[in-house]
Amino acid sequence: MHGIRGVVATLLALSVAGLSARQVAETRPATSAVARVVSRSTPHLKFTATISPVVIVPGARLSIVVDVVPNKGMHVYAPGTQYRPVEIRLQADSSLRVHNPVYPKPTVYRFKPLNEDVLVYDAPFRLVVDVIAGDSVALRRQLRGRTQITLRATLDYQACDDRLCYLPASVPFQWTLRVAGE
Amino acid sequence: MRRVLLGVLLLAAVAMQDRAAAEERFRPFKLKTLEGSQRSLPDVLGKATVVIFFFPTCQYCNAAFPEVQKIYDAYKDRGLSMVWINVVPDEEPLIAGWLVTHGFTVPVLLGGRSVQNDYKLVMTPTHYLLDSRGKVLSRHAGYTAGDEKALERDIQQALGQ
Repeated sequence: MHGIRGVVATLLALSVAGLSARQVAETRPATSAVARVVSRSTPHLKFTATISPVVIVPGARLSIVVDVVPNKGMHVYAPGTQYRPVEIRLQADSSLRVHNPVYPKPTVYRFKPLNEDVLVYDAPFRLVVDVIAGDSVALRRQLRGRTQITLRATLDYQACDDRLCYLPASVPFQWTLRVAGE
Repeated sequence: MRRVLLGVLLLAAVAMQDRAAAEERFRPFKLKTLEGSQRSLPDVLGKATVVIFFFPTCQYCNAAFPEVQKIYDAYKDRGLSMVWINVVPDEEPLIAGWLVTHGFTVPVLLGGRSVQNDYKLVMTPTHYLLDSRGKVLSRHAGYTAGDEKALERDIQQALGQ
């Protein structure tokens, strides 16, 4: 009796495990079809850059979200100061129209040696840029015949800590996206 | 066998000494001035020489340089030579205006990406104090208020004062 119960329990466990594995397997492609993520790490910060959706539909909007985590004690500059602000630079592609990036509210950093207030990011923050692919007849024509587009970008910044400034950095990353047929 | 081993050890020791001596020398350069002429390391060497790597929008450079300028003014007639080397090429157009705004008169040379690699620079300001033959006496990176006092002491020592 114990033997049969054991076999049934094992079969149940296996079927549950199989189901879970299938769910995971089904979830993965669905997730990767929605967004594509790249991560980079430098001596000053870490960031993940996410683009969604990963299939370019002419005229539709793509959203790029870059989550940046400065290392402890490190800050990068926000726009609106005389210093180099952090920014996402997208390599020009004639079929894409890049919107202005959206920056979060920076913090005010008191730089004692110069007795000046500067706008910085010294805690995790998010940059968002929208891109429209082929939003005009001319741009749509340029998309025609292309099955995929590699979108190349860099995260540019200049970091300082409480004693020194690091050289300006430009960290490259890219996504390859499929172009939906018309 | 023992003689061969001794010979190998001796050669290794000589090679290590040579390398150490070479490392103490500041790497030679040939760079452009803002006016477009060329300057090499021997051109800028004084009795003592301070070489500082910077770029105009480096916040700590801006904090340190008024103090460094004062040191230059105080010791340039006593044999101190100084040169600031810009390490971010796309900031070259800012330099002339930046010098005027801050009243800086220290000669500036235009470095480039190769300078970043040649001197293994990752941060600014980074300064070297050299003797009259280009030997590195000290090196320092970053700036904290008061660092200029240590630099001045080192310069006085190098000038034999």
